[in-house]
Amino acid sequence: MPKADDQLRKREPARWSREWVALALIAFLVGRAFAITAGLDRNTIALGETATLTLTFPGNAPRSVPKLPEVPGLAITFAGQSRQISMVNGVTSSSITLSFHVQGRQPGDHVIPSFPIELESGKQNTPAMPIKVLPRGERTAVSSEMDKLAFVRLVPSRKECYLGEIFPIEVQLYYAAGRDIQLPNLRCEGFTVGKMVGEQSAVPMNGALYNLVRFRTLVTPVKTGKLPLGPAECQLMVQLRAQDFFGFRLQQYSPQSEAVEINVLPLPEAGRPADFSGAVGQFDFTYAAGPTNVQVGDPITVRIRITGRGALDQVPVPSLGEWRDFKTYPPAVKVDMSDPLSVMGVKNLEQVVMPQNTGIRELPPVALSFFDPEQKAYRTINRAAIPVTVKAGAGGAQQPTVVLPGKSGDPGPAAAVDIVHIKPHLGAAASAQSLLLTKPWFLALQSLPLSAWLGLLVWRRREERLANNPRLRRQREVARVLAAGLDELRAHAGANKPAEFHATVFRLLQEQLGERLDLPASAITQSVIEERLRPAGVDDATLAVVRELFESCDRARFSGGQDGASLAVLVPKVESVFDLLRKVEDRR
Amino acid sequence: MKRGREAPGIAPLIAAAVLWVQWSAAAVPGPTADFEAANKLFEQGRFAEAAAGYERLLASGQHSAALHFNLGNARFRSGRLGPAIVAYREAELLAPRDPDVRANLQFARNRAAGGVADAPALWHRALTTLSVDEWTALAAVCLWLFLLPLAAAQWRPRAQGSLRPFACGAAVALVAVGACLAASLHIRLGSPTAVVTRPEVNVRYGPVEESKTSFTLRDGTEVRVIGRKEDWLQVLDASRRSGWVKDSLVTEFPQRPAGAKRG
Repeated sequence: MPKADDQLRKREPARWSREWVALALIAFLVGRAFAITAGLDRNTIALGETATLTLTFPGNAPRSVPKLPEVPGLAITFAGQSRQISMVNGVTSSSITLSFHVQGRQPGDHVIPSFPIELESGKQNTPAMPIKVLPRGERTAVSSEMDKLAFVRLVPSRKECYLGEIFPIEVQLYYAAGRDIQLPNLRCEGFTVGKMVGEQSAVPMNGALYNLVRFRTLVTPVKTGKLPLGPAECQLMVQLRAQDFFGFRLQQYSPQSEAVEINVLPLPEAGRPADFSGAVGQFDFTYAAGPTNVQVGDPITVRIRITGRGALDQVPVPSLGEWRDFKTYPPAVKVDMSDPLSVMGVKNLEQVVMPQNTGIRELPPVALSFFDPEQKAYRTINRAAIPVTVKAGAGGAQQPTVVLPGKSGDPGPAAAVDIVHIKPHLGAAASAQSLLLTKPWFLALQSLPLSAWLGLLVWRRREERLANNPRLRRQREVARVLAAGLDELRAHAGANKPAEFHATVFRLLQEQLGERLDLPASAITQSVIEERLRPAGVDDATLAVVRELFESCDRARFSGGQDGASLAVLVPKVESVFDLLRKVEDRR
Repeated sequence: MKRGREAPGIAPLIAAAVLWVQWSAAAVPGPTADFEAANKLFEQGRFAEAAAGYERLLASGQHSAALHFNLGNARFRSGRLGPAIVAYREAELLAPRDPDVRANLQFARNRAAGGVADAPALWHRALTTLSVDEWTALAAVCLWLFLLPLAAAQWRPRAQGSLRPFACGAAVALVAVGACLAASLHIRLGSPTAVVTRPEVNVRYGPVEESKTSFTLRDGTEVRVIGRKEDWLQVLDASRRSGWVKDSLVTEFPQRPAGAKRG
């Protein structure tokens, strides 16, 4: 028994040591299970390239996103977080991963030092993480591949310019596939840079199709000498060609362009105008004012409109402040740029001036001096004086109000500046809308003299035609005589005067036949029936009637005549004979 | 005796007619009474009410230079510079040589910060000394003076020699006055203008509300109308800037009839 106890005592320390080892091993494993893991995906990067630092928290989330220490030569930015959940043999576990971008800004060996992270269970320190940034020009295998996926070019429109001359440059970003493109960061000491305007397109290059983003902007040199412009750096997420389980992998990348050297020339001293104040570009301007016929104290609006190419907002407007004899007010200046880059546009100035005396004859001339970099010379544009007429105020009505205290302290009479008072009487009704010219009665009235003139003109022409045609005149005269003679016949028939009746018939026959045969009326006797009428083709019936009428007249002359009733019956017969005779044509 | 018997019958009729005229004049206020009522409001300093009174008279079809002139004064006193200029210009059309109208129009134009759209040239001022109707009447007189000697020469050919100088003189005058009438009509109708009647009006690059503002015109600014699209006017200001403005924000000259078709 004692031997057995001794053996037992000898074995006791060994058993206890095994238990302690087991406990330590369990504690180590548990500790490992809740330890934070921290690491970089790469320990060597090219200048400007980005590596990814990940912090993984298995089942023990941090209270907040830890703030990483600042490391000179590196730029560290938080990139986001993700959560992974796994299930093994019915046991679920999760972990949280925080990602940071680490960009190499300066070449050299850098170390991201250990830093504490606050967890629910307490603080834990991360291990220190060394990273090497290669010098400019050296590329890693990854960056060489990235260079093919995205690159930047800086293209200035000129490499020599004058101080203050505005000129455009272009930052061209080429990339195969990517997203989240940031505006370029341009190193531009000695230049001022305008706003950037981007424009995207696609271009084929080296057998592949690249997306091209052109960032255009304007730069203005502010000092002379050979100044470096650039490099320009663009930041974007590049889509790598390698494809992981979840699709394409995106990698942040900041490609840089080469810097270019710009030779900035000073503005020449020779020929510099006295009023030159630094405007560089190509400009022109107009000078106008209105109204130009005013009274003393009336406002005149002076308008100057400067157009051209250059830094318009820095172009001084011709100053009107020193105009004597004018009271001036602060000008209103407005610049409207017409192109997206704001290199061309219009600068408008409006200023109200008031002439102070009647001796003013003109608004003074104005001039604008600037340096034209295209012509490499100074230019001065002059605009002539604008004539104005300044009259004395009508009864002081347009004089400015000037209130001066009198000796006794009373303000004294102030000059009247006012409109003419209202009218007491309504006056004659009138309408400005309908014009007299459109009123029918007015137009009808104007037609009266025209009608009178035209009527008299026609009448005059007719009279002249009659005067120049004796036969026509005789024809009308005979017609008039016949008309009167027929009335006489009726009167003689009514008065039962057969002698007068037949004498009238005979006279009318002579008149009518004389006119028809173009013979004197006194030459007409019964003999013309056979001598003139028959050869003229007058039909027998008419000839018989005419003959009967002649014979009737002869009978009445020599044997007395008929009674009134038979005379009245003769009148229509005589009328019909004259109707027939009017149709007779002299065919000689 | 006969006349004496008729008198009792006519007298009551005349008396009744006089009474009716007096009653109707008292019962229905005529334009003169309304005008004087508006003048009274003006004198009391109630300018907006006075302007409304004058505008009611205009709406009833009453037009006179004095009415437009007083309306302009009431609007001017109410601080409505653009509408005042519109009224003065209407008054100027009816009474182009009225010095009061010219003075107040000039005063209002000077007050308008934008100035006058086009500084009138000498020939323009000379032509607008007479209204279009006055030029028309003058041309009609010249026409009569030309045609009547012609007609008399037809009537009395022997007087042709003595009438010829009159006819020739009248013909020259007719041509000259006719040209002035044509130019006056062109000024009145051929070159439309517009007056801004709001405190500030945005002039846009295009005839749509969404278009950006090119520049701003202030109350009373006079501009030339160079185009039209639906209810938008293309205007040109004194600085040769052009843009589009809603026609409801300005008053056009010559004024368009209320029911004018747009297009």
